[in-house]
Amino acid sequence: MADLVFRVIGNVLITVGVLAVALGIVGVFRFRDFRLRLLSASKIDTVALLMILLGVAFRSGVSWFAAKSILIGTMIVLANPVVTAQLAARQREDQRNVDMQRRREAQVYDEPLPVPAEEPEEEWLDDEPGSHWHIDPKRRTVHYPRAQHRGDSPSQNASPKESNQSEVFE
Amino acid sequence: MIFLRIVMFALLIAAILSALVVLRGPTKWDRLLGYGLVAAKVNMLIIVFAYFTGNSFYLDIALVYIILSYVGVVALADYLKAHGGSDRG
Repeated sequence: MADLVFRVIGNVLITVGVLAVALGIVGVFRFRDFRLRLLSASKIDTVALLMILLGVAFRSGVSWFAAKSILIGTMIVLANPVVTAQLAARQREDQRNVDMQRRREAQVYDEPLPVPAEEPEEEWLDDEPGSHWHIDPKRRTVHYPRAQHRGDSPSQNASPKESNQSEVFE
Repeated sequence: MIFLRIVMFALLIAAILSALVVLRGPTKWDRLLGYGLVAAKVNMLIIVFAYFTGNSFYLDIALVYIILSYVGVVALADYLKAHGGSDRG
């Protein structure tokens, strides 16, 4: 009678373990993120291994086999979450490195263009442009009146605009 | 014993599906996770097979196998962290 009870309990535990394995496979295929996949895979693998070991131990009754499987189950329960945590920590560090590299590249390439400064209003002493010399603050040039820049012969300076714009003021 | 045969067949199917994770995973970390999954499934298969044949030394093989798979997962994770595994590939 006790043998039959142990066998039934063992069958139930092994069935639970196989169902946990099936759920873990479904979770690994359904989730999109690596973290979620790791969660589903690791937790459910631990449960499945423990359930299968306990089921085998129950089925074999009081024996050396059951003691060995319970010892292996203890080792797995201790070691499997540790390994999963190490894997998750290393993946997180690697992901952080990749994210920082991408952010750095984005800062280099996607910097917005500098906003142009407001153009100061030019104050003309005279209504006629070019009649007085003045300093253009934006282009850092000095504008002389036409009379100073013109040569002796007016035919050499064909366009008056070129004569108006002149030396660079530093 | 037909129950144990069915369980072993189901674990074999699960191991093959876990091997598909290695082929499918978008990143290298997913492939490493698939390796861990296959190792765990094969370990369960070895444990059930140990009870199926009645030899308790198969449990030693299962113990050594799972320890080596853990060590391999951590070593490969160190390698991927050093060489950048979060990109696709």
